[in-house]
Amino acid sequence: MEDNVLLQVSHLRTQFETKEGIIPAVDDISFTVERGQVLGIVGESGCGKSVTSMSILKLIEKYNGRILAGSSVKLEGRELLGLSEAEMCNIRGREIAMIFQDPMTSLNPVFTIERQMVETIVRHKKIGRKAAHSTAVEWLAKVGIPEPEKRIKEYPHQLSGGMRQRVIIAIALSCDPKLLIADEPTTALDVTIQAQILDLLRKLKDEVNAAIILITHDMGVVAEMADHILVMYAGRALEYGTKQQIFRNPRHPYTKGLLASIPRMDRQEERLFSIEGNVPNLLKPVEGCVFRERCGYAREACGSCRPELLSLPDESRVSCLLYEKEAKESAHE
Amino acid sequence: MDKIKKENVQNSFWRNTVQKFMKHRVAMFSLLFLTVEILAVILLPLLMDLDPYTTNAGCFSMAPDERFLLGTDDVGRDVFSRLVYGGRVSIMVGFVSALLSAVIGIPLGLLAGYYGGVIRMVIMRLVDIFMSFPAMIIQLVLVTVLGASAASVMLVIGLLGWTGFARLTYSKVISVKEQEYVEAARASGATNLRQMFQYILPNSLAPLFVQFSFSVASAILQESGLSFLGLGVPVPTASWGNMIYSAQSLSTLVYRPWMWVPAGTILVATVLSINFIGDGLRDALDPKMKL
Amino acid sequence: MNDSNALLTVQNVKKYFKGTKGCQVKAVDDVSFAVAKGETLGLVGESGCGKSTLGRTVLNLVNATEGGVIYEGRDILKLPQTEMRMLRKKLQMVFQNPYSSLNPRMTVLEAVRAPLDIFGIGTKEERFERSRDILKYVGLDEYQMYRYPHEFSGGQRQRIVIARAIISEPDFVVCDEPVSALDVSVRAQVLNLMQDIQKERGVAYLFISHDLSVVKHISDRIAVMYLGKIVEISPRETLYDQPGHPYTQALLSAIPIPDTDIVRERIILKGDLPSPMNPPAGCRFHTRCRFAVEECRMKEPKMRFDESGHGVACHRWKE
Repeated sequence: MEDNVLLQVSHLRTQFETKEGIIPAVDDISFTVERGQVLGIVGESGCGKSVTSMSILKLIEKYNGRILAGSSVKLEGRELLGLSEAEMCNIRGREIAMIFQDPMTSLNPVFTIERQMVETIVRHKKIGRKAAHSTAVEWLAKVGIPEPEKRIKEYPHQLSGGMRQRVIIAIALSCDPKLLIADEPTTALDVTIQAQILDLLRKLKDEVNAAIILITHDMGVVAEMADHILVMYAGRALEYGTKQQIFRNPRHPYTKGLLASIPRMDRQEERLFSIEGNVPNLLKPVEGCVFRERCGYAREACGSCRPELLSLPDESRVSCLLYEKEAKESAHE
Repeated sequence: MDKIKKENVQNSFWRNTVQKFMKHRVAMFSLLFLTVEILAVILLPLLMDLDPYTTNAGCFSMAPDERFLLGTDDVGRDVFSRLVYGGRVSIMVGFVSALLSAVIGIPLGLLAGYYGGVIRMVIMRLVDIFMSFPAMIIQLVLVTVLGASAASVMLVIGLLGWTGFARLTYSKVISVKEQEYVEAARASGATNLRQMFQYILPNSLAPLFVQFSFSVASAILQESGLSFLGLGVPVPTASWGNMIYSAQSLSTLVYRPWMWVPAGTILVATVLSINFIGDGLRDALDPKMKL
Repeated sequence: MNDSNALLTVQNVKKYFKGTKGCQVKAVDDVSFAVAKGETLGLVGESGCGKSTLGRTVLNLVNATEGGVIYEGRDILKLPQTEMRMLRKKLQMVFQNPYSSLNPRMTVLEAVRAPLDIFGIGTKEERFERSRDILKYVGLDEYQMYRYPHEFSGGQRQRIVIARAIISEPDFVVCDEPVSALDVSVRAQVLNLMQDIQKERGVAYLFISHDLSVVKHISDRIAVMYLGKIVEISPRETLYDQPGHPYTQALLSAIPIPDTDIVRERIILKGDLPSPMNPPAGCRFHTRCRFAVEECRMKEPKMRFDESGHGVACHRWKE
């Protein structure tokens, strides 16, 4: 079982220092990703899901961010946080590839697709340009780009948004990464194109046997793609479980509220459930549970101490005092 | 009850702006400096016995002493008195001409940016024409026609300086105009004038403050240039500009610094403080800037 | 729907933009529909299909190339500017991005009061009171009235924008992707607010969105747009239960459902959206359509209605 663990993140804490104060963007997040699995990280904007992925790649310094001591990110047992920038450069793109949200800006507009792909492949796989070129064409064909030999000579602006995202996926996967981090890969795309891209990602995942961390705000997308789901809110992990556990039996009041507040295609409700209030301002330190102020179940105890991420009998985890008893029972067994 | 509350809160907006401005130390210091300076050039002649015109026989080019605080110039006039009286002229010329430029340039830029099309074409070509003329020559001609006086100098500098305001306003307006809140105003039925003055202009002001402070400074310097050519403020009247130009002779520049250093220093200090006040105002009026 | 209870009728509206090299972009091409009093007509389509342009053309915010919009017996696209301006009291708009649709230099009170100021409604005190009441109604506290937009979250700002749109008691509000920029948990709040407003004030919405699940939740009838044309228009249930147009079918099947128990057959559309500069001849969808036959390439399909008011522009509908 242990051997299957590809990435292990434990007690990850990332802060940003701004003029107004310190923002704890990621506050004590732990999770593991197994080979060939898809972990969905869901949450609303500002919940820290993107910062988590940037922290894994150590891309956080240039935004004035800081990963606090005590955090650990292990890729196949190898600690990443202690690596030098040069060593990280070999990890990024080679072992962990990333796909960003905006297909318009993640390609360099002044170079052809060929140049961008070949350079990446040559750098990471240490093969000749000719071999790299044929790998590139092969990958373009795999991601469903028609006439790859011809399209590879084109510039990014000559491609549509969906095609660009395919190219980005091709670049990301062409170096056989062990882990692919996809940060809102379909948010900028139309639904019909989104369907194409999700379909493609699913097919390719089986083919290359890479694990995927899928970061999204769209519960529909994780429902389709993920094996495990981590629900984040205001920098903290509120719930973790398999897809079935999260969707059939959501535990945390936030997850419950979130699922109930989405308009559904498969049924019609008169009125949507809505979580009152707004996301808390992270500049002000939160005492106790971060969701307390919007929570229908909040009690006095919720304000006094921060709830731990409790392990429940079915191996899911939830950070809510409501489940304290249940968790204790499972610990006794 | 409501009314009182409302007024209180509205006052607090202005109080907020003032507070924000006061927190801007450099701007506050500049404001203080400028106030003191303006008060000085207005009040000192009333309080002290200052005489900028009399040529004191036998006291040509004297270094500062107890009788002449800043010495005398090459025809024996008291430099300190001339500095004070010159300040009246220079500061007035600076502000009035910059204001005139702004009053002409900003609305024209606004019109060109908002309406586009033919109006834009006409106004912006006019700007090009004005900018491609050698300003100094036109100034010379105009001042000659109008006669050399402080008023005509202000008029001429003001009339020729609007292009900067127009171009800056135009470039800012064409970007602000595309903002959704302007379309929202239009969708709410706002007239063109209201869209321009309540939605577009307030959001285009920031760079114009800076432009205004540059304009004041440049007007003061242009007046000096005109004075030097004998077309500025007529000769016996002092202005900082014509005092500085006395440094054209090498001997004055090197051996008699008291004739030009005070005027130069105060000119630079004035221009700088106007710039800082512009910066401070820009920040204070921006609701997004925190206290 | 019969025309007698129509609040606003859009007739053969076209909007062409001049593109580069003399090309024309047919953003909206011959679109007709009607909106009844107090109903919500959802308008869905993917980016670039012309839905936002259509919304703006209906309100005469962009000049239509051709066609008419009948409101209170008059074609508002042909009204002189001053009369059109007065009508805006009754025809308002809510924008997509709550961060950019509020003037950053106006307090919330000023922003919401603006329509009253513009039309000179009531005395100064009355305007103040109405603004305060409406802000309270959309869920803002009184002490927040003198704050500036940047001090609010996206959801709060969108409430302010909605308050501004309804303060002059309009009959019709075009909502251009009003919840797309909002987070899921806040989205529900705003959708509920919009429904409450409709129930209490009887305002009709043209609700533009790319998100079919949101449109389905809020709309009474739905129109689907593809490349500048409406390809299907029908009551909500019919559209979701028996989508007539192949594009609608693909669109519906493409939406991920946040549930693990539902397994659906997915229709994956081939290829990308053709350029609106050079739309395909015949039926515009034929390049991606699984049912396309020769006729679709040659002849443009007309919108046909069945007796329930379900309209589809497809040659092969009901085959």
